[in-house]
Amino acid sequence: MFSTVDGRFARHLHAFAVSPSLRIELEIPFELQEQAQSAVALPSDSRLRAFARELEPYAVTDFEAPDAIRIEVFTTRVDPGTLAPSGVLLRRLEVPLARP
Amino acid sequence: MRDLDPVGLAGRLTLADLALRPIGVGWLRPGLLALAVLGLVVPSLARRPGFWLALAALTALRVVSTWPLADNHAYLLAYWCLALAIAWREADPGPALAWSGRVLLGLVFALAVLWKAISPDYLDGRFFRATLVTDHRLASYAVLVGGLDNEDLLERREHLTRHRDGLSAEAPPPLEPARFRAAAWLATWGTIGVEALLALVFLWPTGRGLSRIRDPLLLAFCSVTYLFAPVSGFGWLLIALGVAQTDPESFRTRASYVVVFALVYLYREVPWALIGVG
Repeated sequence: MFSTVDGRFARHLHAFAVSPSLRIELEIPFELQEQAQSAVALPSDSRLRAFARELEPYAVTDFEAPDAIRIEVFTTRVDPGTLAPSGVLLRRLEVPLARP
Repeated sequence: MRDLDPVGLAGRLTLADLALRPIGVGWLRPGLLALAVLGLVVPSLARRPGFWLALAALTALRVVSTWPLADNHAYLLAYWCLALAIAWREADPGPALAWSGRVLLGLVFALAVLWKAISPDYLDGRFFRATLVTDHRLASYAVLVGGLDNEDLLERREHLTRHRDGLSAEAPPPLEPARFRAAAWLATWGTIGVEALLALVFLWPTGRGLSRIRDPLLLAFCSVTYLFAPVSGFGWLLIALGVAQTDPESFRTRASYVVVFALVYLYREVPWALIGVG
């Protein structure tokens, strides 16, 4: 706390439904917001995998069925001189969707 | 008079912290609040180790249930409740609780310094240059000390929070006024300096040398810090720990801690530092 810009509120994630020809960003539903916060705070493989599983029911597209859900966690870094912010990828995980 | 001794007063301030700023989600919140109020209105209850063990368990459960999102002082609260439970197992809980309070304070500040020292974006000033703008709780410092006006603050905040993943923000950053840069450096080195000194004085052997400035230093730290950083729960907890380690004969010192406890409450309820911010 109060030691680095890389705090909880500097991080965010993106979730995508993906297949070889598809990449659609998923909106995180309200009921999963707390899990999303946990995922960005501690983006371990197991936590991201569990979050991807929770998102599976929402990975419905009008096009082809996606093969997997990709989770990307970013943090904000600021330039030491200009303070120009940039998003830096911290963790990426792709979780295959369970086949029916 | 028993409740004005270090142990009694530290316990009451801890319970007041819990009552004034309820914590926890779900059933934990009313549970913790009920225990805190019960301990305040039935002082004999707050002299039982089982009471503090129950609080330690609930505060620990709060950390576990919100894992990994709990603030650092949530952990400290659980440790402190456990320390109170352990101390009250003794016929004279004073020495044990004084030791716990002193060591916990020393470690809190030592670890705070360590985190800052190993964070590359702290020592080069980036942390406060960015956070003074992006954290609305520090807006009063940015305006009153840093000299930013509201328009500057909003413009800088908008720039720092607008970005694209993988790319830097395209628009050039607003120019940083020299006064703001100086205020950020003051916060950077002032904070780590004071915290390092606090760690040293609380871990210094009691009754000698630097240990003599423990109380005035902690009182000054809480009086100034929580004016600008309204994290009252943490401030109150540090005050309770400070009270526990006071000399049993130092009634005035404990009275000073109570005054600062009230001051932190005023800061929370009357954000006078924001008056100039608008």
